[in-house]
Amino acid sequence: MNYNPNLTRSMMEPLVLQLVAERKRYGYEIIRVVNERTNGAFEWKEGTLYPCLHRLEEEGLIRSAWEKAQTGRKRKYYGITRRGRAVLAEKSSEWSSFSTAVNAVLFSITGSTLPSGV
Amino acid sequence: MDKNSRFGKFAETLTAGLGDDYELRLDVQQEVKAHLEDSYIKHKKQGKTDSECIKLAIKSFGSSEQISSDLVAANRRRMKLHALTKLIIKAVIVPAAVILAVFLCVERFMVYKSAHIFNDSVSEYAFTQKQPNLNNFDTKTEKYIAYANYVTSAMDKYRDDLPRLTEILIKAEQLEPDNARYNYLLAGVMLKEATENPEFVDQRLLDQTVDEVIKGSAKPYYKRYARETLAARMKVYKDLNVEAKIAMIKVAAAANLPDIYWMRKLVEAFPFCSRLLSNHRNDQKATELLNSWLKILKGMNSDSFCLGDTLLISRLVNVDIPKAYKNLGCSRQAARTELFQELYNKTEKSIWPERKTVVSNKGRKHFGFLVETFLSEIGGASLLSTSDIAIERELEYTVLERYAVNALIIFFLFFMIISIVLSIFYRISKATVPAVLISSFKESIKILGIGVILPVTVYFIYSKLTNCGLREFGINHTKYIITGNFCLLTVTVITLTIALALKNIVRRCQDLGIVSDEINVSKRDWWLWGMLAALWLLTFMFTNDTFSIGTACLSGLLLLAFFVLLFLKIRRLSEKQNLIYCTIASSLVSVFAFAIILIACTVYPALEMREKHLIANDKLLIPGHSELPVFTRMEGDIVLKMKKRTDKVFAKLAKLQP
Repeated sequence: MNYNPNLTRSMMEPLVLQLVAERKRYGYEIIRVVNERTNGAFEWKEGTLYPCLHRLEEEGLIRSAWEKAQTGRKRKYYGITRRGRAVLAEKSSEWSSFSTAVNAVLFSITGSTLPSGV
Repeated sequence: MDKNSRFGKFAETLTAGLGDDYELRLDVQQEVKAHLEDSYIKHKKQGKTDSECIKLAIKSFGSSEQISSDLVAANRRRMKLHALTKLIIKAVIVPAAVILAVFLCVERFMVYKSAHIFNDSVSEYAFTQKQPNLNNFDTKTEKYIAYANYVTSAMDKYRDDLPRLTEILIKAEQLEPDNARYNYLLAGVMLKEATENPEFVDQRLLDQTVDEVIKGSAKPYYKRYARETLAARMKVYKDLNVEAKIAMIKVAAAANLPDIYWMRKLVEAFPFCSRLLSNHRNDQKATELLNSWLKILKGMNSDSFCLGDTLLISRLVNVDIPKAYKNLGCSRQAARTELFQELYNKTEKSIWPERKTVVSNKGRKHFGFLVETFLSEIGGASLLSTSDIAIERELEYTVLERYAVNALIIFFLFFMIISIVLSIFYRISKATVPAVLISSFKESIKILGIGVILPVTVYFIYSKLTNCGLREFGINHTKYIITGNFCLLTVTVITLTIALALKNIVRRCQDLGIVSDEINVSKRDWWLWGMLAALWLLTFMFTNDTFSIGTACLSGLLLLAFFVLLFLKIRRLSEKQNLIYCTIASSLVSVFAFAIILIACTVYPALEMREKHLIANDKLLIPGHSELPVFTRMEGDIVLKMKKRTDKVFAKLAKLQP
């Protein structure tokens, strides 16, 4: 399914926060993990991730450091900050109540059942 | 075009909007290139050709125009912050460091210049004497005080120019006919001239010497304007900063120093002169000369006002005048003078029980600078105890420490200037070179903490426990040890700061792709730490001047060798290497500037506070605070008590007069 690009872009920040909260990750890895977990549903242009990462870093939600991978190649790893965790929790809760509200409206009026997986 | 060039060009296009923030541009470029490389590898694994892989990697990255503008928007605040930080470093930190260094190391010493308005005789500041308004004391004969000061200066300055001294003293005597000081000094000069050749004593000149002494002993005052002269000198120090106070104390302590040499030589020659006069059948004159001894001492005592006077009187009291009287057959006078000596020494012992006599060179290591100053003039006979001079000793040492800190600041300034010069020298035309900032605040603290504060603190604690408490440094020989230690401290601090900062800067340069990743900066510099530790260990173990100077020279040579090698490499640098050296040199500028500010704002004030505490906390008296220009309260007490008690001794002696 092709999602509205505006919708997927607006979800980029919480998703990135969640992924770097799990462990330190570099840009390409984030793209790869998102693709894997969404079965390629989110077709982000890879480069759009970096402005997002830099914005989050500037806001103090994540921090970066150059590190050497086991392969010997240097990559810039991003990790979440304490403030980032708080924002992530807030965004997750916001999304949870938002999606519940949207589902309640969309699916109760038409009387249809919720799609599987929601 | 190969893969790296294509990716590099793409990354450059993508980051073009990041403008002058070259460090950020390089950082983002490296990140983009790493991403494209990963993407390339993924496509390669899918069995695509090189060309397809490159194209796909760039394509899947997205529109360069859109991402470029998004990157600018995302980094706007960071770019502003970087620009502001660099502007502050260039426009505030570096100039502030230069101003602080110049102020602390040059401006604060100007007080010594002003001290020479009164034509003081310290040769290092002779340049001030070139000023015409400072060099005309000899023409201001209408001012007794100025001329008295001029005589003091001349007695030291023209010690070997006897005709000139004679001329100056005759003029002084005409100006102040009531003062015996000039007769005695003139007698001292004539005595030196008369006895210059030990095989042939100029009898005529010796007679004149004796006449001059007898003439002086009949005068009402010994040195009437000495205190006024000193008071006028003290007014020169308008700003009462620490240097001024120390300079005042030193000037006050040494106020009568030039006279002491002549007076001692003169009075100590009395027995010899009387014997010579007796040999020439002039017993009456010989007796008159010996009689003047007590008169001189009495005059000296009534005009004494500083420790130098007291020490001189003490020395002259013990000249063997009784024996000289006995040789002339005057047993009554001999007994009287013996009694005087006995009473005086008893009085001195009651007031100053800790006073000792130096018996060997070994004992000399317990002198403070004040006593050392007097030592050569007094003739090595008098000595204050270690506890007496503890405060002055600590003050002197603290001042010495602050001078060492000044040297450290100067060295940092020197290295900062070298770094600026090198960064200009290595700069490739029109190429932009980033001045890399230390990666974090924590790292900056680490560099300055371990590089500067830690070694300085450790050394000062060590030296307070050893040099300051147990060792004396007034004597030049010990000063060399301390100076050697300070040199080693300076080299240690600078080497550590450079080593730690370099590590951080090189690592950052590697992140930015300026320096190759092959250089392993993570490994510990055991050789550097080991070498510095070994030098310090050896210095602590072998605390002698030769070794101390040796280790200081060795460490200085190592630092010099480093710079020589650096300059030798200049010719053979490629463009890439130029970029590396230029980046490192320009990045080090801010490190040195911060180091200067840190030292100037922490170590320096701490030492200055200690000095102020020592001077002001009722432990040391500042000239003008009491009626005596003395250095310590103990010294003031001794001078006052000795003056009063010696007067009593004279009164007692007068009662015994037949």
